Amino acid sequence: MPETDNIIFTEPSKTFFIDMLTRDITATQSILDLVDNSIHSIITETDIDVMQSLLGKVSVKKVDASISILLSKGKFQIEDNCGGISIKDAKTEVFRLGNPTVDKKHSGLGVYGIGMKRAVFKLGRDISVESHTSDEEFLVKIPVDEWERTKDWNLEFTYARKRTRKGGNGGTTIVVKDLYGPIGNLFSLASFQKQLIRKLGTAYALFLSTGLQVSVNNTPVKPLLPEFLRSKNLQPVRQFFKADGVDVLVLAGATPREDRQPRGWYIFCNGRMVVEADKTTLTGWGESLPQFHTKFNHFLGITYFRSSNLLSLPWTTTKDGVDRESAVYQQALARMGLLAKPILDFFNVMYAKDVAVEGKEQIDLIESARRVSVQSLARSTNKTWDARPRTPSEDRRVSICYQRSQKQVNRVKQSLGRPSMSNKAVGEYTFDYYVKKEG
Amino acid sequence: MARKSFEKLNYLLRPSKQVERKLLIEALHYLSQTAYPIYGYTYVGFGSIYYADFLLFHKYLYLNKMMCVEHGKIPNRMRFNKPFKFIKLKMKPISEVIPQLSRKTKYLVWLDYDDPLTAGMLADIDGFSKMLAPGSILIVTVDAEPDHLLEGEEGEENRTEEEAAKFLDDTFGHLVVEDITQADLTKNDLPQLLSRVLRSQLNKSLASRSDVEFHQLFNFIYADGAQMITIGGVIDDGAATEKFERSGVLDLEYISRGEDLVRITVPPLTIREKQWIDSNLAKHLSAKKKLNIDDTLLANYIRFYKYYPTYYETLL
Repeated sequence: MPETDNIIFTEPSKTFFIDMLTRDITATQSILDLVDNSIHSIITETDIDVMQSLLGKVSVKKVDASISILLSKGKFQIEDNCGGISIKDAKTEVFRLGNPTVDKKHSGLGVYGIGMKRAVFKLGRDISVESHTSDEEFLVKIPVDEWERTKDWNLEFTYARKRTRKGGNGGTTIVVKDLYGPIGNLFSLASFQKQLIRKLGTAYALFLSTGLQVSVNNTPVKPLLPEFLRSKNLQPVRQFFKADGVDVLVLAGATPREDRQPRGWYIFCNGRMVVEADKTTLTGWGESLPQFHTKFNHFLGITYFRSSNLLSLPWTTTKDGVDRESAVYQQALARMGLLAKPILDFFNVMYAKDVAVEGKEQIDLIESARRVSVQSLARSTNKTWDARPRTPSEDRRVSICYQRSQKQVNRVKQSLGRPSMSNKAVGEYTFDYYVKKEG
Repeated sequence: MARKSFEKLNYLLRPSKQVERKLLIEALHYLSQTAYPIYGYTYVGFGSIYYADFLLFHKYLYLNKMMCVEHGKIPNRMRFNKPFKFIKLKMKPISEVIPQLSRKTKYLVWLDYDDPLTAGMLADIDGFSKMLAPGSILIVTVDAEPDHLLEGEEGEENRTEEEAAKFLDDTFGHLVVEDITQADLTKNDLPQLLSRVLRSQLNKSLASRSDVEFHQLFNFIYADGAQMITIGGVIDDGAATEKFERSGVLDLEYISRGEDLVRITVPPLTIREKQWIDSNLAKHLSAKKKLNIDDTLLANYIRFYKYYPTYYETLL
């Protein structure tokens, strides 16, 4: 038998990469991955650190950059002026499939090295990436059908050269055409565009507050940061600690009445949201905390993780969720549970069965508190939950509620000579009668 | 529900509404000529005790499979006033009826809500969108009067404009790209907004079906008293546009395929004036000199002159 028969082929196939890995993300996550890349360029160019700014350790640095996203049935485009990609990086790093960054200086967002490739392959089959720095420019086209057919994994520059007109901010434009049917249909919906705008506003709220401008079909994205309630007798949680070398900041408390959105836990890594309004076992509900319930709708908890060693953060490759098994996350989760318990107890009392009477002091406390921003709370010192409702006076009213047989109640009414008396009045009368007689 | 309009106003005497019904009938006749055999469809609508749509659609669209859905607590009046035996009457909320409908039957559905748009209505639209067979027609009418949004639910106090805007943004904000603000609460802007919200909901609900889309034909605004808007179209696959073209329906000047609202107005003219105009219809007719009628009013009349109802009192 010839020797070659002993060889087993194990090379990854391009089809596997295009069809399989792209199933693990949604179109929205792909778009966020591309935005991450743009923001990562800003971070490396300008050295901003939104977490340090949040903690008040450095003053907020203003950023003059923009990212514009255009979506329609037939085309997707993301254009930024966040620095651009050098030809060297394009040749050796940016287009490689899986290239975890070695940059340890910045608390950045480009962590697994597969973001851009998986994102564009998810969206369509006619891809082009154009980028220019202050003195260089290049264009790479990926016609997916053709590329899939060839054996080698290399791509080619259409051009890669020095710019004739130098200067200005560098930037990158990624265009995907020949979108997959369902993706194109999704992009044409006004409801999807709105959902994306809100997701971007929440996920990148801290970056948007630095002056970065993001737009979707020319509609600007506004930062969406929820607010906490605080007063002399109502103190939300602020705890900063380290877990295995990773900075962790936990904020928790109650949201104002007007905030109609049911909240829960939010988790950010290096300023970028990875978990949104979670009410599941992922953030401890049903395990270290009680099962989530509508009475907890106004519970808001935010956990920020920060590290310049991107692989030590507990994010997943889709940056949508956390790696539960991460030691850092486990430690943080334990603390989050302890800090949240007293807040949930407060809500339990506030929404006890007899709401009309019990829980009134808690409600008063909530109504008289003022709104405070995430930034303001983050800059204060470490505090745990402290709620001091007025002690109920002994003379306050409580409600008594019970059932008795219709026949007996009717007999009481007859005996009182008031057959059309209400059941409620029967209860009040009989109670007052006893008190008077027995003192 | 806040007010029952049939209790306040004789249904049959709403002239703009009557024009709307006739426009729909005419357009549906055109569609029937080619690919959409409307005459065999089943009509589903809210009758109220007057059953006005049912009478008209049976006589002029030849529909004889009809279902009336009424959620008010007036079963005796509804049964007493039912004009034809073949009308099936369901005294339940429409949301309970939708799951019982057939996915194979072609329906003509007119959700003619008396009231301002609510999340429940969007849920009804979503329910129908998910089950209607291709070729079915879905029409939705809602109240678009800004003042009605300021009225609280029964027993609650009125809302301020700010609260009304927040209610709209909380309930419908996810369907339109810009946030909904107080500026949208004007007589001109609210109808546009509601039309966009309805269109967005229809597109969103149908997105999960690969076989069909919403092909809009109707986008009306009118006011017999309270301002109302109607959006309607055919649920069908991509070949619909070509079918529309072949049927000639796209040549009708009140068809709207996009965001433009078509305003139905019934100018106040006497019978004698109408007859004079009808018999002198010419390209640049001006009645300013003869009748003191300004040209805008005249233009509005000429637009829909074929469809205006004429009311006479008779001895019965």
